[in-house]
Amino acid sequence: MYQVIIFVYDEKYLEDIMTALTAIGTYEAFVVEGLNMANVLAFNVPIFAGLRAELKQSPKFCRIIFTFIDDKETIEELFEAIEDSGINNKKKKIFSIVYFPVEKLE
Amino acid sequence: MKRIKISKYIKKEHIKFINSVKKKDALKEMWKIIADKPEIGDPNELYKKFIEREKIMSTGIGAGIAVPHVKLNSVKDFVIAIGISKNGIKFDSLDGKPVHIIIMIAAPAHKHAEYLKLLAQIVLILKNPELRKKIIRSKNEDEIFELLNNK
Repeated sequence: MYQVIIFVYDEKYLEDIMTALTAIGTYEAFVVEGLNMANVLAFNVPIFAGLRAELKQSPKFCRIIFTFIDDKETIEELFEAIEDSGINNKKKKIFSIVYFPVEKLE
Repeated sequence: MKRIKISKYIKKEHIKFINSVKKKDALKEMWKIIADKPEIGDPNELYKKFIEREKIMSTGIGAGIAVPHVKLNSVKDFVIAIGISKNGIKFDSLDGKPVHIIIMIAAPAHKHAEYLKLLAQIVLILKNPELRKKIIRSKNEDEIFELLNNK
């Protein structure tokens, strides 16, 4: 079993990524709203207020999906399903996926 | 293999070119394709549920596609009907555009996981604009069946 964490940087594609997860049979997941750290620094930590001018460059949207997937083969299927939805991650960074084996789940 | 192939659920005789221009008429025309199939236990209940589901939110998901779907105890196994409208149907779609492809799904209540996977797979496949164009431009049901074969 693998812990899979998906970072989605563009709101437009969140639906596609969740549909791809559903297509591989994964719907027990948590979608968490994230904040870009540069934004938090610029607006919540006074010393970094100067960063505000540069914020146009950094993505503001971030959703993080936490889930578990049984095996690597299914993770490969997830990548295929995402590609089938028309997302081209090479053109523009829309998402990142990290996964690692889970030793024990209770 | 966790993903399912929709071709497993599609029968050539369940594919039709439809003439309705209004949503309710189109739903009825689609329902008639599957209403008398042995898997459908109670056709009237099925029709009622399709109409009720549309009241919650339109199943016109945009890009010319609608996927009316219901899950019922009286349905014994999955039945899918595919309707193609050359002229388009006013369907209260999310993007306001007319619907050209309708995929109607009747599912058994106890097959929830398979139901969700099937819905997702249909949406993913129809995301492909080239495939959508080919389906709409098809001259007959055989062509549509071939396009969806192996998907």
